[in-house]
Amino acid sequence: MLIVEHFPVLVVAISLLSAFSILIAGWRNKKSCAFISIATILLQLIMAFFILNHVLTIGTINYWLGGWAPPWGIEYLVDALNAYVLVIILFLGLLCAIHSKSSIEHELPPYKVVSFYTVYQLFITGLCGVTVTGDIFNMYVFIEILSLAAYALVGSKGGIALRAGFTYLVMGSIGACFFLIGIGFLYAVTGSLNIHDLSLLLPPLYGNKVVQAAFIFIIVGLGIKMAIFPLHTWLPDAHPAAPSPISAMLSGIMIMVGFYALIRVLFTLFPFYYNYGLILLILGLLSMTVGNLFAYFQNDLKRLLAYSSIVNMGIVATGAGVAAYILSTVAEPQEALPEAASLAMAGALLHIFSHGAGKAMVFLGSGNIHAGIHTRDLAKMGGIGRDMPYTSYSMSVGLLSLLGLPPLLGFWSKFLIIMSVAKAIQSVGGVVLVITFILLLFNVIYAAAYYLKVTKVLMIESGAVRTHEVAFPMVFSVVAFALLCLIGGLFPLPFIRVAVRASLVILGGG
Amino acid sequence: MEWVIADIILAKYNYWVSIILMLIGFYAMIAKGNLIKKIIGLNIFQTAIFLFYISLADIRGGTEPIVSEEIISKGYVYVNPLPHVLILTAIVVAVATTAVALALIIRMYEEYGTIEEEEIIEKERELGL
Repeated sequence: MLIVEHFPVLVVAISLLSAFSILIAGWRNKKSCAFISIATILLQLIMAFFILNHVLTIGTINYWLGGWAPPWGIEYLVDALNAYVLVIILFLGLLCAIHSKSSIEHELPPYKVVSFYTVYQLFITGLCGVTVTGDIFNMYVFIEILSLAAYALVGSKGGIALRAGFTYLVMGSIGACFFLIGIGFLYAVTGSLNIHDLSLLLPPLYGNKVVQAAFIFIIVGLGIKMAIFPLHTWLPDAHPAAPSPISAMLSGIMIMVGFYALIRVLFTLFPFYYNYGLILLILGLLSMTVGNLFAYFQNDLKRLLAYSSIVNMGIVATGAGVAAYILSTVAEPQEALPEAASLAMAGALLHIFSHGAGKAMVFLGSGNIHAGIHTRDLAKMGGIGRDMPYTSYSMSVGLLSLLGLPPLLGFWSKFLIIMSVAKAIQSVGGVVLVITFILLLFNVIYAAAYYLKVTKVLMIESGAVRTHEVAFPMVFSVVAFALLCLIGGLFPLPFIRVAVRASLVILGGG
Repeated sequence: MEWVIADIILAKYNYWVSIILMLIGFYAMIAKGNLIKKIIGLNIFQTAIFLFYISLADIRGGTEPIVSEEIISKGYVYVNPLPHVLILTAIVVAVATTAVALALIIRMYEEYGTIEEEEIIEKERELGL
C-alpha cells in the first residue's frame, strides 16, 4: 500500500489532533496557536495535493478504516471530485488561518483566541471529513462536527451574533435531523450505509415509498445546510455575524461542502431516477433571483456578500440541475455521456472554486476594512482605496471575478454553465432549458449592479476616511486570493481539466 | 375499520410513537418563544429519531447479538446491533448540540437579561444593533 493511500485518513486525523494540541499549547503560550493551526493546514494541503495527483494519475483511493472491509467497515473513498473539493477547502482554510493570525485581535477579545483556533481546527476537520468519507452515516457525523464548530464560531463575537448563531443552530439541527431520518429510511430498506454499496442495492427499490421519503428528507436536510432558496433564511444573519475569516470560510466553502454532500448522495444513489434535476434547477434559479433582489438593497458590506452567496449557491445548483436534467431527459442510457451535461457539471464544480476564492477574499477584505475604519457600512467607506490600496485593489479583482469579467477565474465557471445550457437547448431542447438560459443571463448581468456598486465605493468614490493598510498577514492572504483569481483566469485550462474529470466521476462517465 | 387499527396503528405503533414525538418536538422548536423550550423541542425531536432507529433494530424474541455456534444451530434470531451503535454516535452529537445551544443561551442571558426571543429582538432594536 502506497503511503499516499493513507493520506485521506491522515488529513482528518492530523486536523483533529492539532485541535486538541492547540488547546494544550495555548494554555502556556497564546502566540503558538496560530502557528500550529497554519502549520497543520499547510501539511494537510500538501497531503491533499498528493491525493489529487494520485487520484488523477493512478486512480481512486479506497481506505478501509481498521482494515474492516465495506459494507461493514467505514470506507474512505477518494476520487477526483473529493480530492478536488478537499484541495479547495484546505487552500481556503490556509489563507483564512493566515488572515486570522492578525485579524483575530481586531475581532475577538484576547481570552478567546485559543478556543477560536481549537474550534477552527475542528471546523476544518469536519470539512475534510465530509469530503473524504464514503459512508453516509460517517458523512452525517462529520457534517455535525463542522456545523457545531460553525455555530460556535458564528456566535463567538457576542452581541447580535449570539442570536444569529442560535437561529443557525436550530435550523442546522433540523437539517441534520432530516438527513439522519433519510439515512435511517435507506438503512431500513437496504441494511447498508456504504454509499457505493447503497448505489448497488437501491435501484430495484426506487418504487418503494420509504426510499422516496428518504430522497425527500435528504434533499430538505442537506438543502438547509447548503442554504438553497426556501431554506436560506439563516444565512444572511449568520454569515455576517461571524469574525471575517470565519465568514470567508462559511460563505466560501461550507455551503459548498453541503452542496458536495448533496450531489454525492443524489447522483450516486438515485442516478436520474426521480428527475431531481428539475428540482435542483428550479430551486437554483429561485435562489439566484431572490438572492440578487435582496443583495442589491443592502448597505452592510458583509450582508450584501452573504446574499451574494445565496446567488452563487443558486448558480452552482443550477449547473448541477442542468446536468441531471439533461441526463434524465435523454431517456435511454447511451454509451457516451452528453457533452452538455458534463460541461454543466464541470461548470458547477469550477464555480465552487472560483466563488470560493472570490467570496473568501472579499470577506477577508471586508475584515481588513473593518479593522481599518471600524465600519461595514458601504456609505462610510468612500475613499478607502487611497489609504488601503492593496486591500481595495485585491477586493476589486475579487468582486470582478465574482461578477464574471473575462480575464478572471469567475468568468470561466459562469461561461461553462451558460455555454452548456446553450448547447443543451440545441441538442435536447425544451422550454425549461430556454427559461433557465434567460434567467441565468438575467441574473449574471443583474449581479453586476451590486458588485460594481461595491467596486465603485472601493475604487472611485472619494471620502474623508483616513486610515492605513493593516498588518501583513491580512494583506498577504487577500493579495494571494487576488493573484489566484487572476492566474486562474489567465490560465484556466488545468482547473477546467480537473473540474471535467471530477464531473465525469460524479456523472458516472468515467 | 378494524384493519386500520390492527394493521396500521397497532402493528406499527413504534413508528407512530416516534412520529408523534417528532411532531411535538418540531412544534416546540418552531412555535415556542423561550429559547430553552426550543432546545427541549430539539431534544425531543432528536430522541424521536433515536427511538425510530432503535425500534428498527429490534425483533420479537431476538437475543443479544453475540453470534456463536449454539445460537446459529438452534436457529435463534438476534437483534441488529448496528443501529444501536449509530445512535450512540448520534446521542453524542445531540449532547454536543445541546451544549453549544445552552452556552449560547447563557451568553444571551448575560447580555440581554432574558431568554424570550421576542424580548431579545426588542432589546437589540433598542440598542440599535
